[in-house]
Amino acid sequence: MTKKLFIPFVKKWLFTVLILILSTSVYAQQVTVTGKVTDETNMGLPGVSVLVKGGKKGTTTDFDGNFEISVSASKTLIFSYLGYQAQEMRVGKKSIINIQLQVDTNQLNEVVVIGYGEVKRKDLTGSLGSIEVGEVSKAPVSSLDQAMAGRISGVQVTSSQGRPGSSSSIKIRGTGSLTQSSSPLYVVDGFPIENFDISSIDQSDIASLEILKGPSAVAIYGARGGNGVILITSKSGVNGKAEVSYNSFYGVNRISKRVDVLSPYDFVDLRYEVAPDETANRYGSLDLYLKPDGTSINGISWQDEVFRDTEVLSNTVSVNGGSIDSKYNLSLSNYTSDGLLENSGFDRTYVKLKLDQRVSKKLRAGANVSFTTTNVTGTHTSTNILDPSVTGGSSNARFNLLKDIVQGRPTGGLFYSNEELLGFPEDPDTEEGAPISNPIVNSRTQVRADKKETLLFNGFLDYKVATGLNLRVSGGIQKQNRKLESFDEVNSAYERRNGYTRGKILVRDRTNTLFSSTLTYKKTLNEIHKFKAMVGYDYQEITESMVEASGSDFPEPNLGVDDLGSATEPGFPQSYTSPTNILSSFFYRLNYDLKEKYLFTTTLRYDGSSRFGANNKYGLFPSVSAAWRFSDEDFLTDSKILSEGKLRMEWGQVGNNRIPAFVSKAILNSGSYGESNGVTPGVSPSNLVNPDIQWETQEQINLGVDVGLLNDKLMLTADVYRKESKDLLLRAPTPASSGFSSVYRNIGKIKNEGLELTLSTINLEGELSWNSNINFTFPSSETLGLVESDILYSNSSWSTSNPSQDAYANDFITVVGEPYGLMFGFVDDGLYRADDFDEFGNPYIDVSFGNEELGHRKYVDVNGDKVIDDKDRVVLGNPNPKFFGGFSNNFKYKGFDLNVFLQWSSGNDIYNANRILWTSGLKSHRNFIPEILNRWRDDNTPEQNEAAIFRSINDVSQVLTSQYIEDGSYLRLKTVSLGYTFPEKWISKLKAQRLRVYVTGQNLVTWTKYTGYDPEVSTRGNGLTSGVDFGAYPRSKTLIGGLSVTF
Amino acid sequence: MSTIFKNISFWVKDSLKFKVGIVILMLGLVSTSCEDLLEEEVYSSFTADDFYKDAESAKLGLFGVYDILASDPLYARGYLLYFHTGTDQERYWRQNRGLDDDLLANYQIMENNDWIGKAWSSFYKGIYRDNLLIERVTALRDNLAKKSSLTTQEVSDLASYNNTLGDAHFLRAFMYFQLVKNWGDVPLRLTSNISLEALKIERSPKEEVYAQIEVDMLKAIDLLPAASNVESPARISKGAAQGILARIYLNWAGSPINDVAKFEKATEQAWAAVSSGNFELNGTIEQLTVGAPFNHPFPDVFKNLATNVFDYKESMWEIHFSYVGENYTDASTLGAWHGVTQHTSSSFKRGAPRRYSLPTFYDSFDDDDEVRRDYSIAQFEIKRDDEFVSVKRSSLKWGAGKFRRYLINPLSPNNNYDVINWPVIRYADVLLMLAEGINETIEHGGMLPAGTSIETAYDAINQVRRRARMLPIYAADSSIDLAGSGGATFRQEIRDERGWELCSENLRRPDLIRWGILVETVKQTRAHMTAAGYTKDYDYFPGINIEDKHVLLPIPFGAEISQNPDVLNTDPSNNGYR
Repeated sequence: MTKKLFIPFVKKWLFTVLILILSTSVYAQQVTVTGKVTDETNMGLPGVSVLVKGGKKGTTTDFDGNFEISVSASKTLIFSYLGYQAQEMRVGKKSIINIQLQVDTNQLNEVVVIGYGEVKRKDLTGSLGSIEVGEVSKAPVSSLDQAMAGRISGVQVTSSQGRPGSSSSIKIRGTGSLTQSSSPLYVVDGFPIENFDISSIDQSDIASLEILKGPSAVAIYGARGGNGVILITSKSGVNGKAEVSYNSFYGVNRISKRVDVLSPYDFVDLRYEVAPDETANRYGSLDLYLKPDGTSINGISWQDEVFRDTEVLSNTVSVNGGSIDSKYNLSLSNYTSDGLLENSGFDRTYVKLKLDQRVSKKLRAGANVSFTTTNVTGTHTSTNILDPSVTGGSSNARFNLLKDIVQGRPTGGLFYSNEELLGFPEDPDTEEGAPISNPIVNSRTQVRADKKETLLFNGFLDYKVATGLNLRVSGGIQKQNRKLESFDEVNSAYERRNGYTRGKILVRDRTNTLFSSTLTYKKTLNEIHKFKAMVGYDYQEITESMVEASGSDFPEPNLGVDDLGSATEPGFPQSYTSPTNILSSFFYRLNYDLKEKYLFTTTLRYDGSSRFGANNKYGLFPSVSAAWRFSDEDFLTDSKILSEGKLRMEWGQVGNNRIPAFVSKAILNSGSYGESNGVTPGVSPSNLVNPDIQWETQEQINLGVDVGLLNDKLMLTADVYRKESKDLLLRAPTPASSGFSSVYRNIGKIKNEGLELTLSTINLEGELSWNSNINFTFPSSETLGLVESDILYSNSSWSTSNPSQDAYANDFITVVGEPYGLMFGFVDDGLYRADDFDEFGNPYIDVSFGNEELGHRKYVDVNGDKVIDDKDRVVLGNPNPKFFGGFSNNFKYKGFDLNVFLQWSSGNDIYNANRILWTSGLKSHRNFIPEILNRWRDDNTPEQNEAAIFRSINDVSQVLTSQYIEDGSYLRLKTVSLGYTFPEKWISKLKAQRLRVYVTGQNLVTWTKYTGYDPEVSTRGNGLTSGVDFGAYPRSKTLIGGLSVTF
Repeated sequence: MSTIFKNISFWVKDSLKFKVGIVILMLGLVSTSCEDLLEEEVYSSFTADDFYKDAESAKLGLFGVYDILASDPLYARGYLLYFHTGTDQERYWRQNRGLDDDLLANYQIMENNDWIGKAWSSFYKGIYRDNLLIERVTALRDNLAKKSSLTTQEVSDLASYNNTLGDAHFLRAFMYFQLVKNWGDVPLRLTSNISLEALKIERSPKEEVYAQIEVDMLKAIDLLPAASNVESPARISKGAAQGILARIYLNWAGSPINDVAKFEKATEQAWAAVSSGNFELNGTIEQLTVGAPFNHPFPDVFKNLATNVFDYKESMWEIHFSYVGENYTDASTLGAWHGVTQHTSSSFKRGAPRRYSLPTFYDSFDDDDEVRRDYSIAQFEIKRDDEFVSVKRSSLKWGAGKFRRYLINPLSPNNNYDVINWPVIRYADVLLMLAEGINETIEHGGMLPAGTSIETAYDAINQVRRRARMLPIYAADSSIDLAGSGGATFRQEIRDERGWELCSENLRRPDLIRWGILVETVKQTRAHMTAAGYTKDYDYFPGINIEDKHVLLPIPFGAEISQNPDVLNTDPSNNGYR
């Protein structure tokens, strides 16, 4: 029914818009006064509104800033333009009035976008953060999120992978959900999109980016607002003559850090300890590797061979212009960045057209159409190298490529030359079942590609029904087509293990349809009571489908995924259509403003979702907030110091509706049994039903204060919040005897609290100007309730998913009363030495999962029962920082501009799983890191062993201990950008308005005690097992040079 | 162009019409957004509510249960390979020591062993599937049975429902049997209706579990068709179920419950299968055409497993595996990881066994039993160039000769997974159980089934002995036949015969456990190995590691205890593991 009504409507409406944008309307007036309005650089300002004070008459300036108006001499004209201070001028006897407008540096007057509307910053009652887009987009990153970290208080961005095109985790005010997505809702030009891929937007096309944090701002998004909301507005056309801008940069990526590994000498020395006879034969004398005359056998540095310098290139063209009636913006761009690994990289092409047309005095229409293709190619370091999925993820230790890069043998000894070793697809001497594959060969023989095409169409009609009453109808479609390709050639790791080549194509298709209408009414009573009310209805439907084709055992040579039909063993084609995903919602917002000093807002949203269980189809999400602009009180208006002051209070309830499909119904999966020389189909139940399943609820209170001092040269915003998330969906583990391992239940409860501080200052004004922005966030979290018991164990399962080699596999713990997702394991107590054994040679303390021998690792017997077992494990670390933030500085001197951005995190722990792997299993034929050099050895002297700090090669236990938990605090010089804008007179011959050249460095220096590749890492999930560093694609530093020119 | 524009702008300017239109549109949307709009429609799966409606859907549900047995944690890999080693016959050895399979197979068993957790979970997963199936199909069957007159179609449906229910009751009993055998007391779940508030459950005493197994088995035997009426040995038949029930009774009668009254029942079931006349030993043992000089005589009954020839008369019930397309989820590691060593690059693909027969077991065979010894213990391997060469005794790497991947044609493209079927119960086993049942029944003063005597027992075991020596099965041959009056001597003879006949078939460890001699046998084996010159720890780990508790497995920590601490209420020591 709805669809039937909706689709013809959209069609008709589309047609209308198309026609309207082709038309223009012109309005003219008689002249008595003329003049020109210019900006601070004496350029004419188009589109400035020129109003007669106290009357309704008015006009706007033309392309060159000129205006004409007939007006009587006694009147005063008001010139106003967004972003500039308004000016008044009495007409008198003047027939020519030239005005220069000054830039309005008062941020309070800027308009910020909020859900279903916009508001002046000074009228805000809720807490939100705006990203300085111009500044952030200076970072030469593939996706804006990678540059967002540290920019806004309360927003934690972790890009776990340095791979171009990989996405980041964005957490707004802490993890709001333990098991479900904690990623915020994105609203792109008014179109709400869950699981939005932000890399599908070119950051240079973003006009504003607001992050809604507080309950009053997010509550209007109801069941989807729980993780915060990110509002992205793309650039619109502006009133003025057409402007063509071109921006291009080129640069180089280089790995930001290398991990030290054993030299050939130390490696052979280790081999001698492991297997002396074999080593003598294979590697010869140890002296060969340390000859003073420089004729030593030189080794291979695998990291150098694999991680090469690669290129990044970006080109953007935009055309921008319009009149007061029609505005347009066209943007075209391409961004390409190669990954550090061969054949890997990211490529994006982005096209956008945005139109806004005034149809009549009462009707405006507009549309935004964008089309993006992104292509992420190449092998990951973190995924299982046998796994054909290319969606990222994280593998276990056995088939991890980073392991092969770091632990590749540094020398082939007498048997193989370096060239041979570099050519083998797999180290010929690695043990069966635990191969060291050749990362270079692997990246050449594995095809992995993730291609996305995204079309977003979004349009609106804005109709002035009556004075103060506005109807806005909008809607659109987001269509994403995603194609995942994988192929494993003859020399790939997959072929070597499983014995056949394999190819696979997976096509996913997603359609997201939105219809939204709002009715807004504004009314002012007695000039002091201002009301603004909005009611609305949203209907959104998402359908997804998938098709998969595959084949294996291809003839050699093969055509890869381009000819799956040549496979001698066809795979079963698969397909899937998602179950209904419909959201149907009503909402309203009411603003009341008394004397511009006392501000109140209340919102309510009523969300119904097909994902909710039969017993909980609709949810109600309210919020209230108030603000007091105390600086406008009489006793403070004259203050020389205080220029602005506002106190804010808000409360609200929102939800997180990322409930997976199939929770509220009993589903049967199809399977098969290999009966009678063929396959007989069968079905089997796949889930335990939970008919009560519902959204997760988040209740938040926020207290904030905004203070501006010294004419707003110093602006401070402080917020304290408490966010309680309840009814958390936990994939509650169930006893296996129930027949299932888990069931989704609304059962958990956590609390996130925090203090957020932001200080913006203008430090220097004049020829040399310097302004800065610094922010700090002090978060804390607590678990309030869990499943059956007060303890929930989780397993990061980096080590291996099967079979588990850990003595006790659960390396994370969540306890009621503590922060969630804490690292959990044994405490190191040095090594077993002679005095740890009694006179009969029996150890005083037994290790239930290992051997107690001289030189083996010793653990603290926490409970004092003389046995090291599960009961001796304690909390070892907390992945959450004590505080984090960023510090941005902008300097300007004549034509030069310099931006320096620092970012930090303090007090978070990292679980360095890489290091566990790289220092364990020393008997295996692979390389290790130098930490093992000072180890206990059978062939050491007693004095040497006395000094040894690393365990003996005979100790093969692999459990999480305190030594692998490292301090992850860091301070990073993230972005430095230096630019020079040529003076106008130099470039006017080029007919250019503006020409800037610049150099930018990204991830230049990181100060940290962390020993791994990069401290900004979390590869194994979000809520319950965060802070693990395993197999992450190393980060690169990037240096670029570019130019931008505007005609 | 301009006329279109005029029309449109006229329409737009007609603001009343426009306003009314918009308001109607909004109202329309509002009024249609009622509850049914938000119903979750499922497209890519069936929902359990409305799926079971006819004989065909019942059968789909049944194969969903069979499917779990052929899954990786159970007979395709985990339960097949790692749960039955550590006996006097074989050792488990792999590269990369210390992983969970190795720890499990060599008695370094811990609560968190992943394979234990997986097998436990899979059996219960199967039981849940089966419970749902039994409930739904019983309802369908009962509805039909209530009717006074049935159409031809309905008659056939009724038969199909009953057959399906026979399988379903059998499978539930079979899975509970594996649980009770390995873990002793276990939680007993008999319904698919599990409330989220009642997920915790205690263990039921093993006697109670056995009693439930007996109920299900008798119901199954009642409903199942005779073997000759079953399409393939992939589905259970009445006779095969009787054989399994005999095995169940023997376990019940043995350690740890020692309810000796059950020997009588075991005899009854084994005799029912034997006297049905549906089964017999396959006497064909011929030289193979491949593998010279190691193409010794090889019994058809094992060749058939690799070549997918059905031989229900001896191989009474099998877990079936197939390899279709590139998908190995219906295939098994049998042959690749339990079988003969074959070089990955040979044209016969990889054979990388981890279960190796011990030389002391080899030595235990009678001199005239060399045919059976040599087909059961593969003293050769296949090299890269397809050459069959002998494997030195001292290497301790003699594979399991019964499962030969190189006999498969065509081979799967996968290195590790292929299509050899797993023989769960062979007629030879039933004959030996009959002999054991009769002897023990007499020893414990029970009643033998009519028509049987101790002679029946000797005849049964002698059939097996004659076949092994390529002699006519039914022709008495005093040179090899056993004879006597039963008792302890015969008990030992039966035990030895079971060892020779059923080696590598995952029956030795449960046999040693039910006879109550697992730990002492393993320790003796270590002594024998040492005497034979195999003195290193890693030559035979079980001998060093085994403890009394190892007759049972611990209830897995991660899969069960962590979510269901109540499971330890009745035994906080978790079978002696804590």
